[in-house]
Amino acid sequence: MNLFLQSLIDALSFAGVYALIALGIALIFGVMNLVNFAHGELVMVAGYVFFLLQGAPWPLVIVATVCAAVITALLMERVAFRPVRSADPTTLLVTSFAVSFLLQSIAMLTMGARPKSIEVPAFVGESIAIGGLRVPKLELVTIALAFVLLMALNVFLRRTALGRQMRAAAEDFQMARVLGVRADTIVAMAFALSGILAGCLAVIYVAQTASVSPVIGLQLVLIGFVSTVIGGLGSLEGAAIGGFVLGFLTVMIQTILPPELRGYRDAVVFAIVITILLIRPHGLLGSLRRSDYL
Amino acid sequence: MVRYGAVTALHGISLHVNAGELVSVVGPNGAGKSTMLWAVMGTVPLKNGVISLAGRSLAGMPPENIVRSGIALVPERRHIFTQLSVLENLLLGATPRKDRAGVKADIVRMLDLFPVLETCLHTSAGKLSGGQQQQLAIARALLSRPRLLLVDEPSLGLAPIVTDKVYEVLQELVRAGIAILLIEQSSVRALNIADRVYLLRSGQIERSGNAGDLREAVDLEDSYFGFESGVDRPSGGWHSERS
Amino acid sequence: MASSDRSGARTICDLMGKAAIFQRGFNQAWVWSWPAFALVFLLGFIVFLAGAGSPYLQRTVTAMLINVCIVVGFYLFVGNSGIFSFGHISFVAIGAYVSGLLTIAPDTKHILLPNLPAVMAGWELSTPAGIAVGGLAAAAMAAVLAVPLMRMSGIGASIATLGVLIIVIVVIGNLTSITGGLSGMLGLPLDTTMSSALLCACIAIAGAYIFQRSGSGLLLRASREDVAAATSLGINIWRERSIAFVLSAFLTGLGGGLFGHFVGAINPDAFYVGMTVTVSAMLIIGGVRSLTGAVLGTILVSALTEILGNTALFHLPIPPGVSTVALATLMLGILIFRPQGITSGAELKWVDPRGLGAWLSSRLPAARVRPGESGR
Repeated sequence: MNLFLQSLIDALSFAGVYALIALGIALIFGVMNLVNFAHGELVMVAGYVFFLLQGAPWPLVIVATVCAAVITALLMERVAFRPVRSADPTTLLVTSFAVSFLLQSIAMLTMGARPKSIEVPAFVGESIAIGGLRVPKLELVTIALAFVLLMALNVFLRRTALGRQMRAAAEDFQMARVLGVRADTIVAMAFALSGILAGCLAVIYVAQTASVSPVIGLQLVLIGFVSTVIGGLGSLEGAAIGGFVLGFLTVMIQTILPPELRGYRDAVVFAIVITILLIRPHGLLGSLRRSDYL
Repeated sequence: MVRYGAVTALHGISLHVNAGELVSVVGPNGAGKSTMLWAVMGTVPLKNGVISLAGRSLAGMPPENIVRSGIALVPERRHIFTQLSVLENLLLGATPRKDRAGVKADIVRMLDLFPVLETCLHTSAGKLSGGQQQQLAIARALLSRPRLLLVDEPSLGLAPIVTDKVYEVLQELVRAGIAILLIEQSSVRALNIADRVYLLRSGQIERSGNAGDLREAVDLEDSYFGFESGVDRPSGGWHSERS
Repeated sequence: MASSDRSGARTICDLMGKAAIFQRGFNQAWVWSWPAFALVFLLGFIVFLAGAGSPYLQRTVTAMLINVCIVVGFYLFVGNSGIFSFGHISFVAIGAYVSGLLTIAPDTKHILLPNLPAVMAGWELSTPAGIAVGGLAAAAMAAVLAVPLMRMSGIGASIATLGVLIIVIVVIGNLTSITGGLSGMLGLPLDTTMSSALLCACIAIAGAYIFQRSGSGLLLRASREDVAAATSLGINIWRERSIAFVLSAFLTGLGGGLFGHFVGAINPDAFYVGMTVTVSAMLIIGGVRSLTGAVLGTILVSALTEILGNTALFHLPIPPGVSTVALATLMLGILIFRPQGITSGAELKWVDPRGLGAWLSSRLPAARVRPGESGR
């Protein structure tokens, strides 16, 4: 029983992180049909900022990290994605791939390819005892942060004018413009939000792994990709749910697999993903109207 | 002139609408009527030509600014945001405006004008019937306090009673001083409420004039149905509708 | 007398007529296949030049030709179907590993892969056969994968192929007894020469060209533009995509085998992000939608990487990594400013020499006679 609860909390923590990544990708996809391959690089850049500022008072470091992600996201939008905004989804995808590669290679050039280790405050590694379980503090923080961010995003989208405009633009961009919604503002907002999500994620990631390297973005973006596709491209709820599903799935597979087969975890997970896509090509929550634009 | 890729959709169109006037554009499908409206709103690029409102040119402006200049669009097939509630749709219509009190007052006025919307204010707009959606689309467009309203085939898919209601509202708006450019398939109704009419065929304007004069022109229906004037026409039905 | 003359004349006319028809047929065939021939000539010319150069240059050209084979295979699918297969390098991996298993000498296998099942340990094929079977193995895998993948939408399929790549890499990395796991497979016979690479590149070009001019290729390109319209015309999109996928996998697998026998030692890491990015860059920069683009892009990127990576050339301390940044910037620039690549999706056209003369003379400025000068 204890083991089960332990795994459950592990899974929740994973799932929360995965949902956050997925949301970052889904937000941008919603407003401009772009699956942002470079989202992982936002986390990477933010991670390096954390590395560069380590030792400074940690509230400052965290704020700087998140800001770095937001600034990078806005730059990305302005320089690389605005010129190609009206292109077809595949071109957009490949463009984001190029951006991702560019950022990675710049990081490798300036920071070197080897992972850099980061000093994290001691309390990060500690655990609390809750009813017989030893729960790592970090996991609790992760779950709490994921929850808060999801709620905040929800409030923003449903209760504010800008959020309303974003939802409208996600459904029918042209009509939204004809009503006066400013395209540039909305897209920039979406990128900024995904930057915030990426920045928070970077803080968690760094705390968990105590290191950063140029290639960390790939693993993360893959997770985000797959989550959004599972949940159904075009739906924010779907992305979050897809993230949860993938997170739980990963932890479950990890626990179920016998030790000799543990290395195959990723392969099994992806095989299941492909199966899900087979049965429901538009994702679990996806609807025909959106995914068919692809 | 408007081109979609290699196809020139509209060519050599010249229209004007005055305040307090309802101008109707009729013509067979594929004549380019909807294209014209989207071009005015700036979403379809103009190859060359002039669009101006009260003397100010709107060429090259993005849709966001054209709306702020005082033109609003009620598009064909409504384009309601189905994922948002009725109220949210209305609020979106007021996007260009900054006066919150004024917006609130206007929403109340819209609900007076279209009572059916009041009952489903918080329902998701996708659940409304065609007629309700049409009324929502018009209300939404009106919330930006436009000087010119472009209405594209409002009667499409609607029961005649609902269409009557919609047309009543349009006439009230014209009386209040708004200029309306109405595109319609059903030329009879359009002619009945229009002050002036343009006939658009294959991307060009064929005829124009006061509605009264054109109402008498028999070959107007023929143009709609695509027949050559003077050749076999279906009898009955159409003629008797006109009164 | 007269009749024999006439029959002689008739025979001559007959022959001339046949010759004319043959000439016309030949002309038509020539014009039709010119784009492919031109590319083959170009590559042949490069090889010819390199033959006189240093061994280092020859190795570089061989590597480039291997890339041509892979990129053209990649192009066959991506260019015609419009689906960007992110995981295509999995076929390169399959081609390399299968060929390796088949061609490494049993004694070597015994030492390096002691746990190999006895059946596999005994295999020993010649390198060309190994490469060919590697290609077939990749094609077989593609045939199986096509069933689920080709029904998906464009983006779904792209991501799914990425999933396939990950699965393949993970499996290879873990199946240590067969593949050598993460430390890799060593001992592949180093049989790839510049000529054999050239041969495979030409096979790839020919295959891709024939496919894109075939009925299937045309149907596929129709579906690329507008899925709904194509389906309504009765085109079986799944079938056309699958054909392209399998053919593409075969050619890419051939390239994989070539690669394996070029480097002699392979490991899963070689077939992951690095190669994916390189191959993608080559195709994008050249032009996703044209065969010429695939080849020219490969040549250009190979040259660029070589120049930028070769610090000795400029006597400047160019730090490693600059070439990657330059490549990435170039790729991004092309996508933003010229998304169809350098070739903009066009192929090389046959230019009729007679027409060429007329074109040239129309371009030259008319001769001006200045006052006071005689025609000297």
